[in-house]
Amino acid sequence: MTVTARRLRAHGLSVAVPPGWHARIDRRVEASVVAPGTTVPISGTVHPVLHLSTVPLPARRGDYGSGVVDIMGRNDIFVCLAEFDAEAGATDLFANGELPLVRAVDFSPTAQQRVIPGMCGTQRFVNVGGRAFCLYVVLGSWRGRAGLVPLANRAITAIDLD
Amino acid sequence: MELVVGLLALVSAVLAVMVVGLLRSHAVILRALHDAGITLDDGAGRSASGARGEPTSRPDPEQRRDPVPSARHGRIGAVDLMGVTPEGDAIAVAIVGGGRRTLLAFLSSGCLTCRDFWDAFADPSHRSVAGPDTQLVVVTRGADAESASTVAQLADPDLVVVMSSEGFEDYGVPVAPYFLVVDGTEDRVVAEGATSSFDQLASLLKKATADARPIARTRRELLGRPLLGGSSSDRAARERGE
Repeated sequence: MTVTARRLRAHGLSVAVPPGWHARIDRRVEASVVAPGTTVPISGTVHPVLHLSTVPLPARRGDYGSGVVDIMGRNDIFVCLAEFDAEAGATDLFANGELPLVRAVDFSPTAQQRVIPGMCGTQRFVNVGGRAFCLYVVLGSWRGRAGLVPLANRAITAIDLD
Repeated sequence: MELVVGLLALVSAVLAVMVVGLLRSHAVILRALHDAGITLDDGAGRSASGARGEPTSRPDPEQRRDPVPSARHGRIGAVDLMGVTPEGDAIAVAIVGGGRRTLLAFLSSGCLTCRDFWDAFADPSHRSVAGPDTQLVVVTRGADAESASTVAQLADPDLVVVMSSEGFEDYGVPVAPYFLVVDGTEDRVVAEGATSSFDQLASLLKKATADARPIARTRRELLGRPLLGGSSSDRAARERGE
């Protein structure tokens, strides 16, 4: 294992972790109890979530970065790739294609799950080969987003679907 | 004839004195090099204590006897960690290049001494034992050598745990529990050692921070007898019997 070529792999996702970045690929425990009259777990089907961040990722954190974005500084970045039910990928919300790169114009301070002053976020939905994903990116600085976007894209391009 | 014998004896005596003098001179030079942190047996004249290979002006005498583990012999004194969590998820923790200070706690689920640390780190206030802005990462060996379910039971849910046998090897960890403090701004190990209780760890970290010196060095210390307290110079003095 080397610092420059560290690849994290789990649950059908992998990422070549960029130096200085923290990464997790988690899949929450699925409920063993099913919804009445169905075979669906009562808390829904569980899918993997990949997190990449320039700040340490707390053991307990939200899928969309609760607990992480709170400790980000102006030069920090949080990237989340959350998988959805494959059927969701067939809806209009999900565009067919590859994992998208982000642009500075995509970001907005109001596009954060919970608005933190000075920061900004963007959310994209994509269907990649029949798998549905939400890509959510938070930048530590709205004003400095032009400088942070290339770094975010470098992290996004390090992600692969296995 | 007696004159010749006398002369030969005199010449022999002079030569013997010269040889002794040369040997003493050689010993003085070797000692001076050693004191400067330069060892000759690795062929590189590398520092015995400099994390990046720079000689230090006054190396820890205990470190001279027993070089630091292999991870600190490279150009970079620390490496990033990658492994799995006790829940079976994948995790990568940036140790170098992040500009942060990290306390790496190498623990085991099986050792009784480690229990004190598992319990202590369940208390959030104890996780900043190495400083308020220090990230605490607990490292156990991988699933090949540890029971993930036992580790999951011991670890507080808020504790960042990396199961990675490679992590033990990368940092040359000789025994668990073992602790390293990595300065992410300089990418080097600034303190390391083994302790038998959380209170002792807190005390040694406090002292190490104050002295800006390693908290412990030798494997003989780690494996053969309890750690000595005090600064490196204190320990050196005790070693000399002063």
